[in-house]
Amino acid sequence: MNYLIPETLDQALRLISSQRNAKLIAGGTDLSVQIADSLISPEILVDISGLEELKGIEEKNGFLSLGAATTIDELVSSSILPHCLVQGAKSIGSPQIRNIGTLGGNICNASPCGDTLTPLIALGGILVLVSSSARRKVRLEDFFIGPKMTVCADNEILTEVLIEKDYLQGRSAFRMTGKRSGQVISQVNVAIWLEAGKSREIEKIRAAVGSVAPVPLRLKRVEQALKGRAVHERLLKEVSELINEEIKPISDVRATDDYRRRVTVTLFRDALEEALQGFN
Amino acid sequence: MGNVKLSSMGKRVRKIDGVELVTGRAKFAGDMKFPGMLYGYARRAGVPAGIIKKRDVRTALKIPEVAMVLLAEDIPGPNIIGILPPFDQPLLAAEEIRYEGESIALVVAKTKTAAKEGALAIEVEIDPLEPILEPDEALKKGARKIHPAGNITYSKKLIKGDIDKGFKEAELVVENTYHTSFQEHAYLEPEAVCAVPCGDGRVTVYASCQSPFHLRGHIAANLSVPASRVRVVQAYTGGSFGGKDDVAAEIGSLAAVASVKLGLPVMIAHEREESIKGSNLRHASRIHYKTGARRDGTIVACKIEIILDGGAYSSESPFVTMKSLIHAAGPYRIPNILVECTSVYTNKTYCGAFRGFGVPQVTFASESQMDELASRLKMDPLKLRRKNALKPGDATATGQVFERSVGLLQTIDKIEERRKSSDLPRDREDDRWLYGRGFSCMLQGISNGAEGIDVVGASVQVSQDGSVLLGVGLTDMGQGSRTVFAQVAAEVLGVTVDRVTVRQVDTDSVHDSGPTVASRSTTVGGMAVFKAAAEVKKSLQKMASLMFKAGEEQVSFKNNFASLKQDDSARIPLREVAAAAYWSGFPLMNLAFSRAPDADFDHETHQGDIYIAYNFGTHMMDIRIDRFTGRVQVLQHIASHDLGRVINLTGVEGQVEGGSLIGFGFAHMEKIESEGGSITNANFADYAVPTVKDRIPTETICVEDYNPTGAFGAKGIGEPPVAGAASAFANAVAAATGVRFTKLPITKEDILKAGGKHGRYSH
Repeated sequence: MNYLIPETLDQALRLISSQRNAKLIAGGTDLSVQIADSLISPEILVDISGLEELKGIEEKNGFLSLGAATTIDELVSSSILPHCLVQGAKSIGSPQIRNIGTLGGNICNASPCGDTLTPLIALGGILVLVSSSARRKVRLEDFFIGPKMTVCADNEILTEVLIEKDYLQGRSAFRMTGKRSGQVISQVNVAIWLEAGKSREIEKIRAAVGSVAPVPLRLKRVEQALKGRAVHERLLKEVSELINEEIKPISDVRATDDYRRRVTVTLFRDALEEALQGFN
Repeated sequence: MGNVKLSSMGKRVRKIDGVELVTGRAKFAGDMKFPGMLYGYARRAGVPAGIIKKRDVRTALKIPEVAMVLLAEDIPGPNIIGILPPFDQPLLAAEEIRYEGESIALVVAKTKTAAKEGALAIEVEIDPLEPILEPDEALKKGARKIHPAGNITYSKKLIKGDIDKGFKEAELVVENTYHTSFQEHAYLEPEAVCAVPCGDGRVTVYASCQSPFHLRGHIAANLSVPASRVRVVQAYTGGSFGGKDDVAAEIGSLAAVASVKLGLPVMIAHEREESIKGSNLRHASRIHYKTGARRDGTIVACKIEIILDGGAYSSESPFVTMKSLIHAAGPYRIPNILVECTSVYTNKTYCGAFRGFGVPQVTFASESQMDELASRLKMDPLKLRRKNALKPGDATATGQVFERSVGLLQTIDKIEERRKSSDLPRDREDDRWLYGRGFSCMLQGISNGAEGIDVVGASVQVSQDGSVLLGVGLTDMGQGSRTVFAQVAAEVLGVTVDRVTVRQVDTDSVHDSGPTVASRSTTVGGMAVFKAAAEVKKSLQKMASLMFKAGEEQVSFKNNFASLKQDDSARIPLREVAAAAYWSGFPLMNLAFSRAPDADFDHETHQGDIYIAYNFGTHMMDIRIDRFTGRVQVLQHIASHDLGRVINLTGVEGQVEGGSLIGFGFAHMEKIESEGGSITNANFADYAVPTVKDRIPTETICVEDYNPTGAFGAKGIGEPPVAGAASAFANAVAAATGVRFTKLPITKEDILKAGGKHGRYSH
C-alpha cells in the first residue's frame, strides 16, 4: 500500500482522479480499523488531514465554515459553534481519537451513528464537494444513501461544511447513549435546533436522529408537528408516536431495536427540554 | 509463620515501577526489537467444531517474506499445552477443531502483515460438525463427545451435615436459578512474547505472562529439550487477571519452536480479537440454589447445583470447579450443605482463571438468595447476614474452623456505621430516577490451598554500596507486588524503598514459585522475602557490631544507616557496613523459601482444612436508575474487607477499586455475544469493558484481623472485591426496581425491559 501526502488540494484531487483504488484518509480512526480487519484494501491512501485549505473554523459570507480537516478536538474546544455540535463532537471516542479524527472523516465515513452527523443535519449543514472540474453543494440530509454510502463521487473531496449564520441564533442540544459512559459508539443519538417563544411555543425547529435507520434521519414530520405549538406533555406523547413511525431501528451487537425505539423517544425529549431552556 | 510486625505496615507507598509504566519507558514484550526478528501469526479455525481435512501451506510459502509455516507435526515435543490434567489442548490442531479460535498453523514472516497474509493464504478444509454450544446439549445422553473421555471436564461434591434433615428443619425455602455470562479479562496489553535463540543452544523467551515457570515447562516440553535449556523472562506485563497463562504458554511455545528452527528471534503479539477469541474467559455459569431457613432467619440448609460452561478445553476448570464448590454457600454458618459442581466442555472459547476464580459467580447467587430470604422473612438484609455470619470458632462449608482472623462481623459493623451515617436519597426519588441500596457479604480463600503445594522462593542480595537487589518467583502484572516485596526488604534491612530494586522474574535466577494466583503474593511471597532479607541482615549486623565495637543486639538499621540503639547519633552509612562485610567475606546474598501450611481434606466431600485463611468482605452500593433509559449511576460504593494486615494502603485501595470495577463490569456491562459458536463482539468497541468514565466511586475500609498463617498477618486482597461489588450491584438493582434479576450482566437494556415496581417505563 502506498501512502501519499499531497501538499495542496489540487494535488489531492489530481491523485484521486488519476489513481485507481485510492482512498482518502483524514485521521483514519475508523478507516484504519477497516483496513486492519481487511474490510477494505485500498492500494493507495491519500492523506488530506494536513491540507491548510481544509482547516479551520471561520465566518464567511453569512456562513460559518468548518474545514473538513478540522479535528474533532478543535470542534470540542471551539467557542463559536452551536452547542449540539460541540456536544456531539465531545461524545466521539477518547481524547486520542478526537485529536486525530476529523470532521470530514466523521461525515464521509457515513456511519449511521456518527456523532457529528445528527447535529449538522439539525443545523441545516451544507457540504461543499470539490472535484478537479467542479464544485457543488449538498445538504447533509441528502448526502447519505445507506450505511457507509454517500453521494460523494470517487473524484470528489469534501472540503468544508457550511452552516447558515441564522442557526447561530436559537438553541440546540445533543443526546446520545452507548453501552458505557466513555469511548463508546452511539446506540442512538439525537440533535435538535430550535427557536422558541417565552411560553415554550416553538417557532423554528430541526431535529435529527442517528443509529435508528440506515442513514442519519431528519425527523421532518416531528418538526412539522412541533412547529408553532407550545411544548407540553400531550404534544410530546403525539411526537413520541411520530418518532416511532419515522425510525426504523435494527437489532445488532450494540442494542436491540426495542431498546433503540424507547431510548430515542427519551433522548429526544431530553434534548428538546435542554434546547427549550433559556427561552423560558 | 508470620508473627512479625513491620513499622511501615499500613503506610502509603507509591508503586516502585509507577513512573516507568506511566511515562512509557517500560518496554513490554511487544515493544522489543532484536536484530533479524521475525513475526508469527496463527491461522485459526474460524469454525467452532469440525474435522480437519486439509492443510496446504504451499501458497503461503510462496509469499516472499514468509520464512516458515509450523504445523502440528513440526512441533518436536508432544504438541500439548494446558495447565492441569487432563492436558487436553493441542498447541496446533491437526485433527479436530473444538473452538473457533483454535490455532492450526503458525506463519513466520519478516513483517507482521506478511505473516497475516500467509496465515490467510493457507488452504484449510474443515468438515464441519454440529457445534455443541450449551452445557445442557453437552450433557445430553448420546451427545457427541468433544473429548474422548466425554463432555464433563470435572465434577465434584461438597457434603456437609445431612441435607435432608436440614430441609426438614427449614420453615421457609427460597429456590432460584441464576446465570452468569462469560467475561473477558480485557487487560490493556494483549498477549505478547518474543523468543530469542542463543548461541549455546538455549532459548530465551520474553513474555507478558503470569506464571513464567508454567511457560518454561511447556516450552521445554514442546521443544523436546530439558527445562534447563529454556529461560523465561517476564516482560513488563500490562495486566493479566488470570488470563496470561494458557495462552502465554501457547504463543511462548510456538515462538520458541519457530525461533529455534530458524535461528532467529520470533515475536508473536496478539491483536485484541485474537486475545478475546483465542484465550480463556471467565466461566459462564448456571446455579440452581435452594436455601432453607427458620423463621428467625437461621439458615439450616443449602442445596446448590452448579454447571460451569468451560468451553473447549480444561484449562483451570478443575480448580475453578473446586473453588466454586467451596465458596457457593457463602460466608455463613450453615450446618447442612450439599453442593454439586460440574464443569462441562462446549465448542466455545475455553474458560479458565479469571480474578475471583469461580467465586464471583457463586457469590452473586448466594447473595441474591440472602436478599430474597430477607424479603420473605421481612427482615433487614444486613441483619440476616449478621445472624448467619461466620465467627471465629465456627465451621466453614468445608468444616474448617478458624479460631482467628474471621473478621466478617467487623466488616458488617463498618458497613452498618456507614449505612446509618449516609441515607440513601430515596426521598429524591422522582419521575426520572429510582434509588436502591444493595449489600453483599463474601469470602475468598487465600493461597493455593486445595489446589496444591504453596511455596515461594526469594533471593536478597546486598551490594557493597548498600543497595538491595531482590528476586521473587512471583510476577507483578500491575497488582503492585513488587512494591510490597520492596517494602518488606527495605523494612528488614533498614534501607529506604528507593534503594531496593525488584527485578522481573527470570526463571534462570529465582526458584520455581508456582503460579502467581489465588491472592497469594503478599501472604506467602512476602514471607520469603522477609526470611531472605533477615539472613543477609545477620551479616550486616555482625559487621556493624565489629565496627561499633558493640554487641550485635545493640545495632539497628534505619534510613540507610547502621546505628547504636542507645545513641542514634552514633551511626555508620550502610554502604560502609556493606562494603566492609564484603571485604570481610560475610555472605551478602540469600535464597529463602516460605511455605504455606498444606491443605488436608477429603476429596469426595471436600470436608477439611482447605485454605490457610479467608478474606472476608461486606459491600454496600447505592445506585440510581434512569427509568427511561435504564442507565445506572453508582452514587456510593463502600467495600469493607478483612485483609489481616495492611502492608501498603495505596496498593490495597488500588486492588479494591480495580477489583470492584471488574465486578461492576461483570454485573452490569460486559457480555460476550456470540452466534453459532462465533464471538461477534471481539473488540472493545462492542464489548463494553468499563472505561475511566465508568469508574465507580469505591471507598475502601480495611478491617485488620491478624492472620497467623500469612506474612505479617496479611491476607490477600487481589480477588475478593470482584465478587463483593458484583453481588452488591445486583442487590442494589433489585432494591431500586423491585425486580430480582437472576442473570448477570444486568444491562441497562435488561433493566429498561423489565420495568419494575412502577411498571414498564415508557413515554
